[in-house]
Amino acid sequence: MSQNFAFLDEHSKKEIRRKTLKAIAIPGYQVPFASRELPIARGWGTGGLQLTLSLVGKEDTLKVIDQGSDESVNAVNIRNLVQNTTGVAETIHTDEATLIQSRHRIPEVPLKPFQILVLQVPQPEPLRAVEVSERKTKMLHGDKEYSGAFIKLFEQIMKFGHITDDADYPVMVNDRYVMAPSPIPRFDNPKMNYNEGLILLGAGREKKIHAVPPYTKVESLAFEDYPFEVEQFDDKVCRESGLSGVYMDELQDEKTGETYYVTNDTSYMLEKLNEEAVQHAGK
Amino acid sequence: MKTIVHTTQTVYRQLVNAASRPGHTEIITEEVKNYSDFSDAALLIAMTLFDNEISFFSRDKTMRKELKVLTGGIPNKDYTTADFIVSKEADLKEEYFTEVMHGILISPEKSATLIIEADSIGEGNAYRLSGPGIKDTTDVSLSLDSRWIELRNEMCKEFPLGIDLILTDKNNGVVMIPRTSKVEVL
Repeated sequence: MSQNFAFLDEHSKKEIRRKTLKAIAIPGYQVPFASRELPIARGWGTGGLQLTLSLVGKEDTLKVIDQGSDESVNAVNIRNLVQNTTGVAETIHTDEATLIQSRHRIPEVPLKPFQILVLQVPQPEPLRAVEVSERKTKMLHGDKEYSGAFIKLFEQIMKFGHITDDADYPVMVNDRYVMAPSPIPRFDNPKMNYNEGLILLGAGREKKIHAVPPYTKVESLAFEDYPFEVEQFDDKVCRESGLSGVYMDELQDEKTGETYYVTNDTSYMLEKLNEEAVQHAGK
Repeated sequence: MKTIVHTTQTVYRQLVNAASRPGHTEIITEEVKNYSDFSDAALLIAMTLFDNEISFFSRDKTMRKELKVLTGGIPNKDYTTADFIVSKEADLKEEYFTEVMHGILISPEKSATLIIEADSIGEGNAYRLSGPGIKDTTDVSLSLDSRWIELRNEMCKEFPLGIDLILTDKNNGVVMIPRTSKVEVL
């Protein structure tokens, strides 16, 4: 069977490419695009996958992660599809990759200039919870009318005493557009602010592309008396690697019932463990 | 085997770099059979982005024909409704900045992109760029007259409305100035 390079036909790629360039020119604004059929179902990363397929070339080194892991089913399948149709090199190391597709995490290793991070977005509209009409949310964005986004956070404070949005915490991009950063944990929000790489976000089911260019102001929404806070892991230590200050998964030991923590970004943990092993061997 | 698929992919990635880093110069080294008197860079950029879903305006007859044949893009005699304007620096008119589509508030992406073949990127008038994609500021020299940049600034005053510029030159250099960039004449 012969297949076009990077699966998509050239017309589809052209359309995605034109829309992506617009998205980069208007940071945080959701550019509508056609969103093609793919061999995976919508809602399983098709937005991110289409961006990756429109970008990828023979010289690229690809990394695909799902919730911090390079080895979960979703990540492996997406990586296999891209590799089978392009033959590009793969890596698990963030600093070796030229193109990174990710579901729900920004890697612990900061992005470098000219690296591209593609995020998969299930719901690109930060105002959808307060306004169901697409026509109306487009008008609200046009007017920079974001009371709705703040009211949503305000209601959480009234009900629970603190903001309960743990993932997909809304951000203001370049002082103009409120954007849904995809369901990355709050912990990752500050990584977008003036970061050095390009971040592209694709929502396949909702047919939207948005972008955060390098060196762009990205501010998490907050109130003066309820400032933005990230999840705290300072007192937690990773059971496998002894790391702290990184995003962790909370797990339970099935035998003892004891709660323990493991670094979520598995490739970062592996790099650190290998470094340690090399140092140890050196002694 | 190197085909047009790989050529346009390479050019696109250079465009992504140029768009996300305004003022940064990319040199397009891909080859193409070029019967127009525009640079290979300008032709390749059009071949990467144009198809029968977009319309373009160009005063240059040869280029118009080339683009129509090579991309299927629809030649548009009316620059006020064209998605792309393809022009040489010498052929620029005030209307290409002031009367082209510059988006509407609910859909700012419905705006024109100007592909301008400049005499030189790297020499000429000095401009200082700042904004998203630029760490502090970056300086770029362009042959482009400050009159055009001032018109562009006027059109991009009301962000998110505005126009995006793709500049090319004879040496196949590419610089992009998206609407977010603040451009000062030095």
